Amino acid sequence: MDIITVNNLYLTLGKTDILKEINVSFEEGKIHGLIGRNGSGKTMLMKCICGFIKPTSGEIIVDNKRVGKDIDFPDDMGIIIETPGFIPYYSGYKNLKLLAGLKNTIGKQQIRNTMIQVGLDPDLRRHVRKYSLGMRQRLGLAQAIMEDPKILILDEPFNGLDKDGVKEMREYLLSYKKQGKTILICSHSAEDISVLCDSVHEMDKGVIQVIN
Amino acid sequence: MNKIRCIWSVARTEYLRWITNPRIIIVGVLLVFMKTLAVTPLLERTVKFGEKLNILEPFAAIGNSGMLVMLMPCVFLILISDYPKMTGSTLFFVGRTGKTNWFLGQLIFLIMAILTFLVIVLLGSILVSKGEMGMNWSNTVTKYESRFPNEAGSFTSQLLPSNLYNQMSLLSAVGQTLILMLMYLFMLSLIIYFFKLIHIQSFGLFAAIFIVAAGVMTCSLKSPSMWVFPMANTIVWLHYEEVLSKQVFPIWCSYTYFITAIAVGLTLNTIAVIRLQFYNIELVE
Repeated sequence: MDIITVNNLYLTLGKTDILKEINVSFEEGKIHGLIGRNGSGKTMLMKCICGFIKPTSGEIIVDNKRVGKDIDFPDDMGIIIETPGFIPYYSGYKNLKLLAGLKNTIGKQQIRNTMIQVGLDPDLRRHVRKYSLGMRQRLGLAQAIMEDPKILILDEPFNGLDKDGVKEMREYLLSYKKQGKTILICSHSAEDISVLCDSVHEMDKGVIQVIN
Repeated sequence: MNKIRCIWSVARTEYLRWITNPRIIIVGVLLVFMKTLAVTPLLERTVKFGEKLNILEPFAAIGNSGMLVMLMPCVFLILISDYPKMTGSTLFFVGRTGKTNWFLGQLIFLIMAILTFLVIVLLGSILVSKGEMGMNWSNTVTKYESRFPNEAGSFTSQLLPSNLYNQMSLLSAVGQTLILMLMYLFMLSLIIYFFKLIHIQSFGLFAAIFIVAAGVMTCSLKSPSMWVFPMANTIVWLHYEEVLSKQVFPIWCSYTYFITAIAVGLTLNTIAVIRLQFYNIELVE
């Protein structure tokens, strides 16, 4: 069963066609990879799926709801798009607590557990502005998964992670898939994609095609 | 309940981010200007006249000085020039709260920021006033020119002119100055917000500064067109004659002016938020 369906999607900014005739579906409970060169439209497609950008035409259906019509943003979706940003003068835990307070579906213990799960210390008082890129990336993943969403949209989630970090993250994403969750991942690393993904799509100049 | 929590959470986060930004130091520079341009000249008069000021009089002078009514919005515009922030964390917030709640949170933040700014100016002026508590204008303000007629029309006299103290009580002057200044800053902020939301941020700052500058120019020329711009509508004494119980420009018209401008600003911002797209995300939080 498809959890994300994109029908005849076009996105034009100014006179530039960013996305052209995108027709693609992503099956539930699998990891789907999106590859392509810089500027090929991967991030824009992800932003459209998340509801951050309204396409020029076409429709996106996430979990049977039309994005931008039935809902502004999909409810049950965790996201990392571009470099994850946080309040620099808060600790990692405080940042997550603040975000969790918006939906109010999880408590302090779940936030702490999620941080431990991604390899961060919830008791670390250090401000996020002093975090390394890898730590920020882990915190980004923590905010994406802490509310246990059905779908994860991850744009370059392995950026800045060391070898062990990448390994841990891969293992985590595979275990997440086993719970029946769907992950759409975009990465420059062919290895990440081949190890993790059940299906791979390539984007080139705003056009998508199935690779595997 | 969840909606209120979302809105408050956005407002509180933005406020904490704003108040802890090192840029807030610029308010200190404004306070120095205020002391030099308004408070010190008044204090020099108290020495010469031999009576103290009322503690609220320096604020009334600041809010009715053309120079400071120009400086205050400029400083505030610098403080909010990059708001509403659209950074990586904004996506995390908007995705959870929805655009409407996020925007309402931004508006609440704006009101909190303006109130903080005005309270700092008010408290700053009270602290340096060396004055005494009271509800009425002091003799230093009302009787100084009759004792020293050769100083009539001087720069210091223009700070608290007879158009003000002959026409209303001190509390009314301070209250109206606060409300009009709040509306002026809110209106300018909505211009900044609107252009940021439609992704032409630099034009917003340019437009706001143009409005301030045009107000300054028309006010200094005493041109009737000054009432088109918010600055004249903010300065209370400009609305009144010196002695006659008559208004040059009804003050209720200025309130209507600001309420209309804010309503238009809110409408345009609401449309901009509905159409808001997150193409580019700022990397600096």
